[in-house]
Amino acid sequence: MRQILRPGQLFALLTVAGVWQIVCLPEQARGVMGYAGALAIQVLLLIPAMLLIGQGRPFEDVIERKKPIGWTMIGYCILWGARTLTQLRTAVPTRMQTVPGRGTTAVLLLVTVLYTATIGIRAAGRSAPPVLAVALVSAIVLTVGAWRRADLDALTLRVDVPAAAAYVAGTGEAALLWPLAGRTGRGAVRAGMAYLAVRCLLCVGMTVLCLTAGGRLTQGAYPFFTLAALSQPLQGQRADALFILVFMMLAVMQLTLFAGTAAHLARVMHPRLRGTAAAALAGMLLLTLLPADVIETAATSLLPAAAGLLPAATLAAAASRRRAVA
Amino acid sequence: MKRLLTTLLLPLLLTGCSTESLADRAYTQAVALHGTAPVRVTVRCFDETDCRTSTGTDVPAALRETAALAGGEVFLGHTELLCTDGTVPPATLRAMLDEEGVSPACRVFYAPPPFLARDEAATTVHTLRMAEQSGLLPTADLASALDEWCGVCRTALVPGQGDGLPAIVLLRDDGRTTRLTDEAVQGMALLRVPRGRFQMRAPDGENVTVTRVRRHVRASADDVSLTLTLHTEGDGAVLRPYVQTLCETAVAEMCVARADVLGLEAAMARADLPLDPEAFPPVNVIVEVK
Repeated sequence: MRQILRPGQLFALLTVAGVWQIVCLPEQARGVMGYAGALAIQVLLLIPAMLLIGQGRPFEDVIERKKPIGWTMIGYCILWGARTLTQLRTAVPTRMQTVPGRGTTAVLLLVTVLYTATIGIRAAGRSAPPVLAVALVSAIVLTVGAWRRADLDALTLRVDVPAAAAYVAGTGEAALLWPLAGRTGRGAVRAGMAYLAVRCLLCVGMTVLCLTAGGRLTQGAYPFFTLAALSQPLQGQRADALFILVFMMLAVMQLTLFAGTAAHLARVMHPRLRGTAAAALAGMLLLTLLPADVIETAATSLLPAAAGLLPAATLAAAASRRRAVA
Repeated sequence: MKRLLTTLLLPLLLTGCSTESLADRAYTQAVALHGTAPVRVTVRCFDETDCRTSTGTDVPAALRETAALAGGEVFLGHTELLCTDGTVPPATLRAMLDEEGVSPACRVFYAPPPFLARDEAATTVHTLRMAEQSGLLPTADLASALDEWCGVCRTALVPGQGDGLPAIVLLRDDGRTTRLTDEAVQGMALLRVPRGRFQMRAPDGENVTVTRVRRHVRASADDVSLTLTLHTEGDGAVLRPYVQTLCETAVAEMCVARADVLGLEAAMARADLPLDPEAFPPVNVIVEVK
């Protein structure tokens, strides 16, 4: 079976999705120390998946025999895609839209994602490293622009448990580590660990900026967008155009990740299926008819199951089979 | 490779690049806001002496009318001065930052809308910038004003109309103002941590070069201590008693006006102490000259 993604592509794809979640964090943390605990929880959650990857047991082999697991993961991807669409609808200020009108933006975005998801998750994987590079450059620009306002006295090292919990709850893309790892083995494990670490670092960086440069202005909802407004990397000028561009690229990659993964898994289980990407997108759109808090609760509730329990159950089942054979 | 390029290029179609020419845009130098529902917006463009005034249910509606008058989109990204007469709630000014693309370094100026039609409106920003760099006026911009209005005291430090140099005013979100005395203004200029080097004239007439200013606020259950450290070239010790007096005057007038424009609330929050606007804690001002 052809390898799905190279380790570097896997790292970039997951990290790009992570950057999107950081950008859409609903509240500013009051301190940075809680993220260390959040990172530890994420690592613990992904240990079963990493063990399976390290043992060379790809997700595709499992779902070929046990299709309910595959459909569960597909449902998970559709749910998180719907969560992303809901975030775009409710959280994003109008000035972050590239064209006037939320409807026009939505249509353009969906058409783009339909194409990118249809051409396959491998294409998305090849696109992820340059997108991540652009995102990191824009993070540097944001930092340089906001740093002139920074007051280091405002930096607190306290533990903000709700913020850390929200950070963990927003790590939806982590559950895709095992499905996308294929037979990469230890390379994928290293990619997974690197993704968790970089994601945490970026979130800490944004929190530091919000605390030191944003002040009380970033204590409202969705602090990233206020931080982007306060950043002036070009002397007196804002860099909104750069952040808008990067924001839309992140949105496309995020939706492509979930829609593309769902489509890929459906074709693994049923190779004759066609239109899987469109069906996944349609499912996401249908789910957005539900209230935003219902989608949020459902998506975050499924995260521990998809990221941790499913691989753990698979490990346990494999271990019991080995004992039975022995 | 083709797929990779296509995947990368497609999102660029979402950039919505503008097809307007420069001539189709009205680049505003100063904007004055008055009232709430309806809002009256007065706009002055670069290299123009005439102002355009429009009224709307909100700022975007008024700006659309202004665009019709100006014959092109009103572009606020280069706005240098945002005038308010105290009748506009901070939320409206916040929307100028969040939604209308005004720079966070834009100066908020306390003045009625007719001020924009005066010749000095065009040079006010330059005057403010030079005075801040010289340590004559405290630093203040849209971002700092919005941040201060978010505090419990809901008061921001903004420049306003004055004789010669602009005056410095503590502007509450309900429109009430307190004008600082000249001595308090000088103290506040130092306490707001001016950037860069500047000259200070000591009482004995000697000019001392100040290379850096640092402010540190620490709060405890009993009081708040505000330490101002001035780094100078040569013997700056002659400045210490003079600066001490200026800073104490500034802090005293700030406390009397029930305003916090020096980060007291943030310092008390770090110590898990709330700031009661009606009962300011005693503030000890400590000046160090190095």
